[in-house]
Amino acid sequence: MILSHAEIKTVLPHRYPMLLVDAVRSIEPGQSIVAIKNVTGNEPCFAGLSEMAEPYGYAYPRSLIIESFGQAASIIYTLRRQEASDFGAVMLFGSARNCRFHGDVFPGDTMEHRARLERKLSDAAIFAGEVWVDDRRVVEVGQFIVAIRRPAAPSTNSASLPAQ
Amino acid sequence: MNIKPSCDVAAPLMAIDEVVRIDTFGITAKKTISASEPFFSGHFPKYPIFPGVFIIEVVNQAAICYATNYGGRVSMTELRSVRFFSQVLPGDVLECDCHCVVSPEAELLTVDALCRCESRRVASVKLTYRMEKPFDSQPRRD
Repeated sequence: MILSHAEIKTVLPHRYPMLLVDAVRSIEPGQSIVAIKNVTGNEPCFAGLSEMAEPYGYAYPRSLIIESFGQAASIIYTLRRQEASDFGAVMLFGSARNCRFHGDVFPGDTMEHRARLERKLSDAAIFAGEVWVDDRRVVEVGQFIVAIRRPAAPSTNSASLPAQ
Repeated sequence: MNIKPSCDVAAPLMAIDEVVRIDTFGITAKKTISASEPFFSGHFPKYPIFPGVFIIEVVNQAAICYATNYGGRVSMTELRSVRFFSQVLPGDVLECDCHCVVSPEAELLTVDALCRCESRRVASVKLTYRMEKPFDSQPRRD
């Protein structure tokens, strides 16, 4: 099963400039996904660089690599939920652990997110996986936890709720 | 204090408005979350929430600023852990208090940060960096 960008927009609430998954190459709903994000020199994150910037300055920000991975991973869960006709829940970045960076991603690179659902709880989903650029494994994601919240539930100003 | 990150690296936002403290023990950085930030239009339409990864970015830019202050250059090798406790919304003032430890032998910088909006705890972030360029002056804790 593959998903186009238009179909991704029906399963993720993110929009420009924060929708960081371009296409889904393959997905096993409820299990795993292979999704891609192309990085170009036109990304907003490169707009502020001066003419003097060194080549390493053009490394795609690691915070955005994690965001892109997390969006790809959450499609595994969102899609299955849609198939089960369970709409209305929102997914928020709850926590992550042991994300190791082995290399950089530059304009022109295609990131391939390989994510799998490790465990599903009633209020959270636990993912793990890797980010590849060609034959380079640039990131290992040990654990990425998404909290699942119903919109009706109070979600702000509570010290105990995961967020984002 | 009027110290700003001076290095020319790609960033998804100007993550630091002000450095309120920088000393050998670490750095405290402040960011006022303005509703006019361009990313809010996509995160999310009608429901602006400051992206969690941008809290990581604030801590990252603070760590780079700390390293630059001592003449070094660092590269993130691991996000050891991040936990979010509460949402950050437009109008909030985010303050990230970063405890920095330099291990010159291992050429590592470890950063443990607690992030708050006033008295509300919003996140804890633990990052590890490799030193690409050693510090000119070693931060001392006399």
